[in-house]
Amino acid sequence: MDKWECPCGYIYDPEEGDFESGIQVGTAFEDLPEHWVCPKCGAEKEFFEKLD
Amino acid sequence: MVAWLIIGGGIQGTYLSHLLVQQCGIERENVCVLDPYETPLATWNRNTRNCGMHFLRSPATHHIDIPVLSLYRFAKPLALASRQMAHFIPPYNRPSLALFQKHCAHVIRNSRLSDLRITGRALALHKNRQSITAETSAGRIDTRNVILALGLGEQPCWPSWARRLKQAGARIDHVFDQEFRSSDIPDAFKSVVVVGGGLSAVQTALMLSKRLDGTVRLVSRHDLRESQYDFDPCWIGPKCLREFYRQDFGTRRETVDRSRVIGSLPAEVIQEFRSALAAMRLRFQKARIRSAQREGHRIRLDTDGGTVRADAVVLATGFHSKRPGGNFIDQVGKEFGLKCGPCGYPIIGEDLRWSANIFVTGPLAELQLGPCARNIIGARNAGRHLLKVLGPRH
Repeated sequence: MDKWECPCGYIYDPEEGDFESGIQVGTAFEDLPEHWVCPKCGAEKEFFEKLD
Repeated sequence: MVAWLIIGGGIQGTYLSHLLVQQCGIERENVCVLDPYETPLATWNRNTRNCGMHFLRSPATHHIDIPVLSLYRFAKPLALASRQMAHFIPPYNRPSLALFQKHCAHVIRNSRLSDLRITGRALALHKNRQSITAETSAGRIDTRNVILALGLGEQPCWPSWARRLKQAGARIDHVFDQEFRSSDIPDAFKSVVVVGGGLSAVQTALMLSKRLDGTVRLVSRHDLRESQYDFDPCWIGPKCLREFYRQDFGTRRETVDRSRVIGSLPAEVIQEFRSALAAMRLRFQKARIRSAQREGHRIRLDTDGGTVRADAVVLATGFHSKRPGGNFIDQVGKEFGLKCGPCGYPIIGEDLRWSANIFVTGPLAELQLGPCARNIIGARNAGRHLLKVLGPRH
């Protein structure tokens, strides 16, 4: 599964999930809820870029 | 007449000139960058070289190109060609300075950003009916819009004891002085003192300790503090900015000052510093310098922890926090009747407008962009705001 990077530098890694936001390990970026935002800076999903 | 005059050709001005041409579709002939230095990013390159930076503190997505992942893509073939080189370090994939500079040069060359530049210093802006005339050391430039992209690079912070010592002819320099080259410090010097407790100070001390035969001593008013960032990443996005926008301008200034983690170091630099201390390659003294005097060719520093003598003193005490731009910004504010906060910084709108056709970015825009305004990501955030005004392919 792909990693995605926020403009602030935070990288969403499906293998880690996002514990603080209740996102389970193994959740693909595409499957994150629409209201999910970057846990570091609050940017919405649309600002993330998929890492090559 | 040009459509856009950007005053300042550092990271901020260079990035925004690129954005105007590439993303807003403004014709190259209509964008002009006025900068007192001959080459783009001159101050940035000099300062980072002088303090021996190896890795940036910001992530790989913070750079001067338009596509967010440009630096990663640029690094890929380089990594294949030179396997031994670590281009990024964790956390957040921070690029090496060498890679970052190569990437900047690549972007500037490929997009011919140097062609947009005029070497000169802005002296004043004059209001015309539908345009602005910039009075500069290179002559007059008529423009429809101005972006003020001045940095802090020209105001290194000199403590009063240090200024007096310099006037007395002692060998004392600031690592951010225009004329200073750290390579000018002779290898044979027996004792060099670096003053400061932040990243530039520790990097300078480490670099000198590797090169000089004698003792390098770091004198800091405080213990070294570890922090991965010079501001919390929450300031890059809406997480912290939402509350910031609810504050009045006096409070915003306090918030900006409080939120910048001054005098701190990322973990890998602290670790390198501790190793150097353990290997006796350099010394650390927590002390406040009370006075200083010249003793022949040497310097005597009287601190609250005792007396230190040195062949040379290098200040790495950061930048003065006063508003950049000096008299020039005062003149602009007066000529156009513009508002400033209690701290003297421009009060600008969400669209970064100080007036109908004067835009502000960089540290001058801190009351709107927050604590990250002066950083590379501050330039990118400013770009997003400008794009809202101009629209892509304007």
